[in-house]
Amino acid sequence: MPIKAIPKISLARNGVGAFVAPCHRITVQYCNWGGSSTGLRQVLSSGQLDHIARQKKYTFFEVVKKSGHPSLTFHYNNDTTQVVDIANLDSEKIVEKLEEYSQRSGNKLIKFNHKVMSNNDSVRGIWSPLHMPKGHRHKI
Amino acid sequence: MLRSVIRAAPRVNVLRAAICRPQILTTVRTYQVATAKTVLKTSYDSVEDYSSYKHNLFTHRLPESSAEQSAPLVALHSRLNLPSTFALSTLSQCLNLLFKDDGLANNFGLNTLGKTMLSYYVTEYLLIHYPRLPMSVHNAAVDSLMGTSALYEIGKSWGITVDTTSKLDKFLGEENEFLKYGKLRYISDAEKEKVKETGVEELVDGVTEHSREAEAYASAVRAIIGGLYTHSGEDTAKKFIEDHILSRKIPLDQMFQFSKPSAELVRLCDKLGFDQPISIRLMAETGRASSHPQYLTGVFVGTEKLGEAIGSSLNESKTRAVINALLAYYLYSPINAQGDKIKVPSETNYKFEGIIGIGDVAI
Repeated sequence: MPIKAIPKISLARNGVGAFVAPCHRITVQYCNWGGSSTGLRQVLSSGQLDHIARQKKYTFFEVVKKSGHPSLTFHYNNDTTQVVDIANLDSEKIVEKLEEYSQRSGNKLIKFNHKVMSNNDSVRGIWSPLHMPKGHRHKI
Repeated sequence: MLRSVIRAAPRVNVLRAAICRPQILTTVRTYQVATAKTVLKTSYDSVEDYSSYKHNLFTHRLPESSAEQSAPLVALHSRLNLPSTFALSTLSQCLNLLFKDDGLANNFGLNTLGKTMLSYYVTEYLLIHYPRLPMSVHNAAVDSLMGTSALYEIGKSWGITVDTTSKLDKFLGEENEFLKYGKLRYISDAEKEKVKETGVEELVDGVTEHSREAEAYASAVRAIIGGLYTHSGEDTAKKFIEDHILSRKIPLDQMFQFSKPSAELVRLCDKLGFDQPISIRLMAETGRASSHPQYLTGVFVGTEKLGEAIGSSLNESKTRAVINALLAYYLYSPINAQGDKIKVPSETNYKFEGIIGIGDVAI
């Protein structure tokens, strides 16, 4: 065979075609007794969490009663989990955290110092000095 | 007398071996023979009468009321934006690979159906949009879209999780009984309870724990496509395949491995019937005497340029240029008069617009 194929897996482009929310599961852990869970207990008893869960139908919410400080655990589809400590936070801050982390992709936050991040080649191509007319080329 | 018999015996064996050898060779099967799965307890009147085939394995479907109580199942249904006609019980069935799981129906049939749908639409897409792909690359491209590892990745991205706790663990942990209906079930209870040594992996027939998991995920993804076809029809299933699978990017330009690119290009041009011979010409260069020279080489047929490339040696730039010319030919994708992608046969008002590839060249 003249041509051999190199096996490669196609690249996912979430949002091209269908979009699947990366955060698929949120574990809400609270303590029924401790003072640091006051805010979260308020979120739970006021029905605020039910309201959020109804809005985010695509996420599986799990409420766990466990002694200790309260926490939110976000499970993402790239096999990462992120635990957010919400001890002593009031209900508004907790809802804020819930919104913020449930919208993340699960990838690490990085400082990206380039203009474009893309899987595709540049549409215009790369400028080449060799394609200048002969008289205009740089001579070494 | 006895001695001679003994002496003769090995010779007889050699003879017998010589006679037997062709027989052994003929019994090696190069094709696959379909066998009925014994777990399904299939019965039939006669082997050739396919309509009489019947599975006698007792199964029942999960009641919709139970499926509705499984939070991960409802969330998965919503995450995939499945139509309301797609029953939750079917989605749960798609995630079940076990043949003996409380008599619940598994995804065996849905998986087969989904696989057929998937392979049709994927092949159609590739054949129409990349009509000149060589056979080997075409097959690799099909695998890159719907191979086990690609579907495993897709299944993972849908947030499907594996049910890893045994019945006993569920009872002791007071786990909600409906939870497991929204999880991927492919590990039997006996296996779950097996004590595992960390860092040691069992390898049976080249099947690892990871490859089994990947195959299970892939099967669930295919079954969901099959379920979509069953509940909502072909158009919905096709849209789903387009959105989730054909929307992925296939790195086709990285999937070619040429052994003799120049010879192949010459052969290809022969086949295409070009009048003029191929010429490879140096178009520009810089720094020939330096440690980092750059050469720009072009491949021409008459005045037509087939490809060009920059390399740091004459040979490198030549090979790169030839490969670019070959890729430009093989990766050709037809477009219509408006500059859009052409229609595929399964679309309405399909009229043939593209080209039919002339096939692979042999060198």
